[in-house]
Amino acid sequence: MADAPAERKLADDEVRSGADPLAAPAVRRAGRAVAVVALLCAIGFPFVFTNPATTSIAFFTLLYVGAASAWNLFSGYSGYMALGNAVFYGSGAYFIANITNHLNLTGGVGIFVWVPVAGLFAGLVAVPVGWLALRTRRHTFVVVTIAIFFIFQLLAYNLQSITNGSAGMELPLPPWTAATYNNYFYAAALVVAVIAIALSWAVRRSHFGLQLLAIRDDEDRALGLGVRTARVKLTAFVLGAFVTGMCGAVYAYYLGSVYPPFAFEAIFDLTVALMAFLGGLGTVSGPVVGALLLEPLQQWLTLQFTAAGLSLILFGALFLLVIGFLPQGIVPSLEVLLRRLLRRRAR
Amino acid sequence: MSALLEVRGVAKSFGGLQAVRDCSFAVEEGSIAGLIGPNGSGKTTMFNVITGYERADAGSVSIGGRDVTSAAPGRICALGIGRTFQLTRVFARLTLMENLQVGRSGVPRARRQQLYSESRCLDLLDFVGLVDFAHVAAGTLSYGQRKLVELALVLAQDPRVVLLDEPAGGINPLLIAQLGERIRELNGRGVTFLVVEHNMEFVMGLCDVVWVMERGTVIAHGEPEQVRRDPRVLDAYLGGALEDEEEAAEEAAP
Repeated sequence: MADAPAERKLADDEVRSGADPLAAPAVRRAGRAVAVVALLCAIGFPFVFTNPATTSIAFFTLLYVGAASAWNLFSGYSGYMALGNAVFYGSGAYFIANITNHLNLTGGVGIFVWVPVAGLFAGLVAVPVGWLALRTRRHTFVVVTIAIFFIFQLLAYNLQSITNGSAGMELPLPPWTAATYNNYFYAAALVVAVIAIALSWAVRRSHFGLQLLAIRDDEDRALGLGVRTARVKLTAFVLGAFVTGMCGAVYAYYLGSVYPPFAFEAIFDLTVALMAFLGGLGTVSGPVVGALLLEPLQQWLTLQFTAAGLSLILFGALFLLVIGFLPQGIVPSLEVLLRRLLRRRAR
Repeated sequence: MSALLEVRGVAKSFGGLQAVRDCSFAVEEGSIAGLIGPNGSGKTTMFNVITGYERADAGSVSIGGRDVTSAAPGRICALGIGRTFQLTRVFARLTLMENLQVGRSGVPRARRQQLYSESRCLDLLDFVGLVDFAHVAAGTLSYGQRKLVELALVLAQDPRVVLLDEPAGGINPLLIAQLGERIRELNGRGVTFLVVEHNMEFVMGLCDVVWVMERGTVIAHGEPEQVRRDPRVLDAYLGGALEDEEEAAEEAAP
């Protein structure tokens, strides 16, 4: 949350992350190498693992890499905890369902062309939503985003002409065989995830990103130094919504149908936030790591314990553990560890 | 010399509390002005009104002849008014260099490159004696050091007027002397200062003019020596306090 003047003493490690000029280039180089290797692994994955059950989990994992990065792009950097990103996920899903039905498109790779357009639509939805929600701060902002989420879910049930209500909507059926079906979606999710990470990286390095971080630390001070806080916040909010909308569109096409409770899902809101928290709030790689760990776990839990509630209970418990014992998340903690090792070696 | 910053008849109340009433003063261009007064006399509220953090109930504020009453903080900043806060407000998780860079968006586009070049930022940190901490997060610094970071943050924008809210509070005497030197040095380069401060020695030694506030309004002003001898000031500032102490002593006595 955008904390008040930070009189509180920060933990030494928290404060020094990214602050050591000697260790920084080494860590950055290591980070770049890891990113390249990870990308190559992601590209090679479906060639090695051909079992549809496995590639399905991989597909969802990449989708959440994108969604969690998108959430972090706004909430992680600015400190505004949005718990209503499913609004944009659902908007993207319903947009692609509508456009494919209206244009009578047949299933195939061509449908993916509409994914970025669905993202733009979700970004458009985010303008009034953000304008409204960003008039508030801290806890009020969290509550307002949740409220807006439920309004959208209700609209999905009731705007029959656009959403077909609880009967849901069908998307065109792709012509692919069961053996290769997942691969197309895997590729699409990978592209969206790479866009999300690249965007998140570019923002983190830019002056725009610095302004977001300044807002996180002390919004009023930033305002007094001439940062146009309202504009900066809304821009980041819309960017996050754009990526989230693309994720929703790919998801809808994968399922082949859209229903209100799946498109506008409260669990989605919590999941993306938990992933970013676990991996490291406000870092580029944090949400990626969080999604890589949590999404397979969630899929596995759902398969193992089909009683739907159990995986949720475990998720809740995990959230508490993360907040309690790893408040900074995995990536910053590892970074601190790596720095210490480097420094020890240098001595 | 002309008044660069002019406050006329400003009033501000919070609920039932009249924090400032009919307050008027003016700061001449190129001067160092002091604003003193007992706790709760409305000095910080006045700062907040000038810099747009609080909206005045009545009265006007003008900068260089331009009316800026109740303008947004960003606009005040763009007009060349910088301020520091009584409780230091730096960006705790950003490094000092990053802290400085935040102000980049508050200066005209044409001057950004020049004002925010790496060498100038390092020079500024050197100026406040913190260049060794350029890549350390501001939250790790001591209170006094953070006050100096705030000063650097403000100076980075090359303001015409700097409002300092208790710059010497909680700072060790050596650092206070250093701070005074820095302020005089900047003043020599044409920067105007308005300083709120409780450290009388510091204020009297530094300022050209001192304005005295009590209960939300200005009761006296003049050169430090003049103010020091003003019976109203002595009464409000020192006498009052002494009387209170005497009363307290009497009450405490059996």
